[in-house]
Amino acid sequence: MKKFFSFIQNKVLPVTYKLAKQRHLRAIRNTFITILPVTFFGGIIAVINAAPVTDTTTNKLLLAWASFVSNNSTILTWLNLVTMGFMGLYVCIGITYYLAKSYDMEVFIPVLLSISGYMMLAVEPQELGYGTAITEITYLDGKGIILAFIISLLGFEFYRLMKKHNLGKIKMPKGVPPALSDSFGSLVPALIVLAVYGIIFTICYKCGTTFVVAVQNLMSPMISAADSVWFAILVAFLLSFGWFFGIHDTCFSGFISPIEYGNLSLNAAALAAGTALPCVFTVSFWCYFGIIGGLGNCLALSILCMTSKNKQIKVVGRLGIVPAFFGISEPVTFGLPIMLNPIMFIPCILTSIANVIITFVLMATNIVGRTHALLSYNMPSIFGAYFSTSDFKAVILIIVLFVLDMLIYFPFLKAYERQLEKEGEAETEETVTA
Amino acid sequence: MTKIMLVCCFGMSTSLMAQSIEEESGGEYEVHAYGDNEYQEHLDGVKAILVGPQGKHLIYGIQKTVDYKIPVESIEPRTYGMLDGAKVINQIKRMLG
Repeated sequence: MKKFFSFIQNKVLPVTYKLAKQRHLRAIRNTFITILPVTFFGGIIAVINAAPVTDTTTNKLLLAWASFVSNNSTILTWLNLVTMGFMGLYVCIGITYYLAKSYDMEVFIPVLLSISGYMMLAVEPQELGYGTAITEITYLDGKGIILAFIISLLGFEFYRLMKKHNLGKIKMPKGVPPALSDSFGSLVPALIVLAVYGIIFTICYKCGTTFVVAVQNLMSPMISAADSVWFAILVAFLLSFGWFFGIHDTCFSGFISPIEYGNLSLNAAALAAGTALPCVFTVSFWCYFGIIGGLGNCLALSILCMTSKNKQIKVVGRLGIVPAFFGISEPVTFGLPIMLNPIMFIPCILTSIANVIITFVLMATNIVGRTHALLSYNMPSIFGAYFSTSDFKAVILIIVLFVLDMLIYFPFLKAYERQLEKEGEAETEETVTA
Repeated sequence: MTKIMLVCCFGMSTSLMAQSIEEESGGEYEVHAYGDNEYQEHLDGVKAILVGPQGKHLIYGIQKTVDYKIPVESIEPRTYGMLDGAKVINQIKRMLG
């Protein structure tokens, strides 16, 4: 076991740290953290839009809520669509922004190119007449995230390299303000980038499709593989495993966030359209059901700690419980500790895996409603579970998972208690003999 | 008041730590916590930077950003978990030398 730990620390940790620092992954990660206001707003609208009524509902308040929704459905749907439903566009802008910033570049033109390119390739023009333009915009949401990556990563890098090698930089006579010559310096690369987008659009249009649809069709086997119980288990394992070694989950979010958020956005779009929600594994699925009380399911653990007879463990529980309620598990993780504590290795990983398997099965079989909104990553699971699914059964599920996590942790915590006691005894004996 | 900065991935749990250090110091230190995507904009006047144990990998990048002019260290995990501000103050005193 010791050998294994030191292998991970010396060989695997440096790799994940490198991942965490990698420029493009960081830009992706920062983007998904920062678009929260938009997804939050869309999430609130989605909650309002999902009045919990059935054919047998008689509660007047709920019925009034339902009729408000049906009277204002265009307003609510539009508010949700331009926030949550334009996620692909916002991701595209965000990544471009953070990448350009990381290169210390002027930000506005790259962002401009990204918006322009994204709209060109994701929106399908249907009728562009005089005074009216009808277009198909449903691919601005999570379905467009791959396109967002292509534009904001490849497109941006293409632009940056051209600019770096001074392609098309027009020599200005002395006395011309530097700002002006700078903007001329970006002109040719920018025109080339836009021209490339234009050509791609034209080719796709001639073939009777749009680029975003073509990409989507190409990637769809991969996307459906990412919405399976195996993938959920893999994520649960990877993030908890990392957490055990003190690696923050954001190190992996450059890979995982696009899938989690993309799936959530597909569900939100389906809900708005009134069709069945297609995905199970979303960001809300993970942060409300997979990790109750932060990575390592620390809410259950900190309550157990509070009831412990060992003074040290008790203090950790008291310190950790409030943060854990809001999904912050650092105090317990480092205080107890879970991190690099061999006894805690199994439950730290097992709880999340158990949570995702149970939740996945119940949601895949539609016994519990699927997630369609994200309010805040730090919203307590018990509320987040309801608001993200609009299903009371989800709240019950959280309580069941929470009890299960306590049961899993219990024997391991007891073992740890005994170990601390023994150490304590050994210490006092030493002082006596000395 | 001496300005101290804490940095982690979101600035979420470090803000708890920041609070504890500030209280323990009795007004000697002004402590703020930031995420690693925003700390660059708040470096003005900062005398020491600490990262949480989950953010050890950030140290090198921060050192480069501040051009090695501000000391950067990580907080020991146990101290961090117990939100032990007094211990961190000792560390800060040593860092400020």
